[in-house]
Amino acid sequence: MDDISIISLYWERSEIAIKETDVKYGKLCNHLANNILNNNYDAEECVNDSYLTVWNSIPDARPNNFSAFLCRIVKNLSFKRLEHLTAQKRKPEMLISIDELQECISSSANIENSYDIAELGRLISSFLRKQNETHRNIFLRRYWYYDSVKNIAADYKFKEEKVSNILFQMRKKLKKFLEQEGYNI
Amino acid sequence: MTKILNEAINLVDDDLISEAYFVPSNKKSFSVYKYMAIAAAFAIILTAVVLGTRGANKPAIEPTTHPTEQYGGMNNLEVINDSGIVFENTAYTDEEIKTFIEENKNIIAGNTAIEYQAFDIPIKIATKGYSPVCLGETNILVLDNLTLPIMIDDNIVGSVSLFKVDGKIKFTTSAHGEAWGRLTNALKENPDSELAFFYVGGYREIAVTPENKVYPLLSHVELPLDENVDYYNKFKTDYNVYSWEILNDENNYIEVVVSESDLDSEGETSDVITDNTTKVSDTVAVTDDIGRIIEIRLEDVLSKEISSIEVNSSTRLLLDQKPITVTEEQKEKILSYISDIQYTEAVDYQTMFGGSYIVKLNYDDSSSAEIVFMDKYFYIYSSDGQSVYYADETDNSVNLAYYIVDLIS
Repeated sequence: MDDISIISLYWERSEIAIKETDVKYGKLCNHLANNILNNNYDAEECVNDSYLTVWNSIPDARPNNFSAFLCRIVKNLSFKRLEHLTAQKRKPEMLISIDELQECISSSANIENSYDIAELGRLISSFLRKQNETHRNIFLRRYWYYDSVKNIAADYKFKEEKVSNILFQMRKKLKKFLEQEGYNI
Repeated sequence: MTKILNEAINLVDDDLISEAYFVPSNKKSFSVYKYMAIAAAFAIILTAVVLGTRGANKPAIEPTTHPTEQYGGMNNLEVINDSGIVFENTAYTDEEIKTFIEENKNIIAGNTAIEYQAFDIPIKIATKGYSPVCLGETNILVLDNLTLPIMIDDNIVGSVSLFKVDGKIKFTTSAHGEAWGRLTNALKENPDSELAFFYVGGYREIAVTPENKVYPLLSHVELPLDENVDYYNKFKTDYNVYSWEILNDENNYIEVVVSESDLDSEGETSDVITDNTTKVSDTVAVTDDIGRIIEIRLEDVLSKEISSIEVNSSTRLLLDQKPITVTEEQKEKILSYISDIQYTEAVDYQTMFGGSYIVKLNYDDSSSAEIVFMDKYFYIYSSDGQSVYYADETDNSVNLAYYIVDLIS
């Protein structure tokens, strides 16, 4: 079912909307939640909570991009769940990929500067649009979806080393781009 | 800083996020079809050549009409392979499980106690568990993914999941959520039966009775299982079954009582993420006999004969990955970076969000020193306990970090 029809079902308050959302995006949502939480039970709880959140959001919302709308909700709820987790954990892919972003940070960073994060997000979008499509998507798979290098390599039929290199080059480029734009993060 | 960058990436445009899951091989197929159509319009021979060369390499994949179809929801459920189960890895022995739980019972029980504010009452950690079979195009049972329920009073309240990384047993714990109440009900309502556990659709866990009554442990949506299929007998093994009897057998759990005073001063067990204001000097500074802090100078670490250099990163360390011993040429390069560093002594050690790089210098006299780089700060820690940290006034430590990234990636 296409996204416009799914959104219409939400507006009609038809519960089939949730089923259709799950049919189309269930695995993606679970995959994203699992990348953050690294636990099937917690991930599925988050996905179910996300469906409820979408149900409560539409209407009044009528998202232009339903998959991104849904994934953002899943991500936010997964992060909230992660805050409650303690104890010795398998280090989720999320933390590993965040660690890698540290290389994009300038050596002269002043941590006391405040940043308009939304503006920085727009800037990163413009950076990404100028990149090779494959490299852009691999970057987002790693740092937005927190996918493992192994999964990304399998989907692209690349060696893992190639994916790691692409990510490394993208991080270097992003750092240089941000510095040129006057962002010493 | 890393958090700011991560938050900003979170806000990139929606279309970029959606497109990120478009599988490139499918898009190549589109390109090939378009190219073939154009070539065919101009010359039949050229078309034949294109077909001849491209066809040999073209993957036989149907173009995906939506980027997320490969991650679609329940469509794959209709395809459950009838032909049996593939077993992966090796199951734990009873002794391994009991030893591991015994060694980690305080952390596991402590976390459960915090989650439920369950102090001074028995918490039972199972030492017998189950490994669900994942049903699909290939039915897979990963033998070293084991679920061990945790009980308080008469109810399952969470679980310990065991798995292996590089041959070592690791665990995660889970608490709260609907799954545990549902699991308790499923087992209690069938006290005389062994239930079989499966994942359907990749990740949805279900418990199935011998009569094929299905208990979804989560999932509010309907599961399109075929009521004519005897899932229980078709896919039951010794490893994916569990029962109320097994759970409550006193030989199959370790009981722990946690008092609030057992926990540390912050009320939580330690996490892998270090705090941004960690002062290394509070934990590793060494004093001599009369209380003076012993200093180790950067030039000291280069003054002795170095037999080998190993490099690593904090991320790899957390994943228990071994350091890499560098070649002679790489060793000289690293030493030249270190000797070029201009530094001043620092008071605080700024810990970023993980992401440090480590150079370990192994000396001929069997002692060693570690130099840990993180952003503009680095510290040196020697094997006899001396340590000191510096701020780098140049970019040399950052350049060294980049060099190490190249070596370890």
